[in-house]
Amino acid sequence: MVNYISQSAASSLGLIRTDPTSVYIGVDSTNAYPSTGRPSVRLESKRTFQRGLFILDVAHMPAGCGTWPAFWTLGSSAGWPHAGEIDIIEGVNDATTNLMALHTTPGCAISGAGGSGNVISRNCDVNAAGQSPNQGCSISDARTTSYGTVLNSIGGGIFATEWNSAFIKVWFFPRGQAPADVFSSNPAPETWGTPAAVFQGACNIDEKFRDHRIIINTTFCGDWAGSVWAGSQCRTKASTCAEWVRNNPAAFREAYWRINSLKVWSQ
Amino acid sequence: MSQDASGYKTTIFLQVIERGTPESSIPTMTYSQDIFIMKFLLSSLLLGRSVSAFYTVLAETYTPVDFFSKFNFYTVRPPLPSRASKFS
Repeated sequence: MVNYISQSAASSLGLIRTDPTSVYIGVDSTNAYPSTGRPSVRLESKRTFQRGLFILDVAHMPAGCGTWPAFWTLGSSAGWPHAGEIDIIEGVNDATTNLMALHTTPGCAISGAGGSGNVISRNCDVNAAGQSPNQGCSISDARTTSYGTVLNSIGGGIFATEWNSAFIKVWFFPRGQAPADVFSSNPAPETWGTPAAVFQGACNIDEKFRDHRIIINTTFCGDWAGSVWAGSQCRTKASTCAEWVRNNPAAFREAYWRINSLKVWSQ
Repeated sequence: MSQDASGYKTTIFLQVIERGTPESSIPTMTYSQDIFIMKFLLSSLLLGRSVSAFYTVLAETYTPVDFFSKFNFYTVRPPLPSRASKFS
């Protein structure tokens, strides 16, 4: 359902652009695509990272039926999931809360303690018994401001991810509520209060998460957005997710990222 | 313990005081020295409490000026399950 296109093609179609204060990353919302995927963009950082503090200032994120946007990091030094995956912003369709997750090989589990979010699953192994395939360990932000149309209505916010040898934590600060030092030259997450998600437990983080690239993408339907379509309010729009995405370009005008900045800090 | 005016150069030493030494012979610390030692011990405990601390090195920054030059536009479907690769 998606057709990820090159930088030149994306620029020509107006799917990417910048202004002095932000970056726009969108999808095609003009044309129907009855037989090919809807054009979109998947960015992968040229640089890889091992631990650090990742601070994303996002003003708008893709939202709406058929969408599956994600801001995440993926290990590049081994095949999935041998170098791990960290999902920082992710959701589908008309979701109202952000789902944060880790995906690993066997031998990594979290306690679920320490964060304000709702723990959905504790085993980060993508093949863990008793969990959906590829589910990993996951925590849902309890706040509806953390994702989609409500996040956009408040002007977005700050997603900060601290990844070190002991834990991976994610904070979300709605627009106007971030501590001042988030934007300073020496951010101190230890002073930021309770994170939305704390991934810590029986897991060798240095071993499970290696050489990650930052990825920003918007895809459609697929194994997640498509599979839950029938159980969502989106089902009233079309019988399938794929049908909706193919034939309703105007429905994807809100399927864009607007990013003010992204910074990666190390100690 | 000694501390220069800037507060940056500090020497801390311990003095063994033998049993029976008159109290008047035991060196005393000023109030500011007491406070300094308390801060020193407290910060040491805090730093040792967890791996987390403040960050000082900006490893990478992505701004509108150079954002897209620091990313590859990935167009090839990876050999992964779509749920994992977020391809559809």
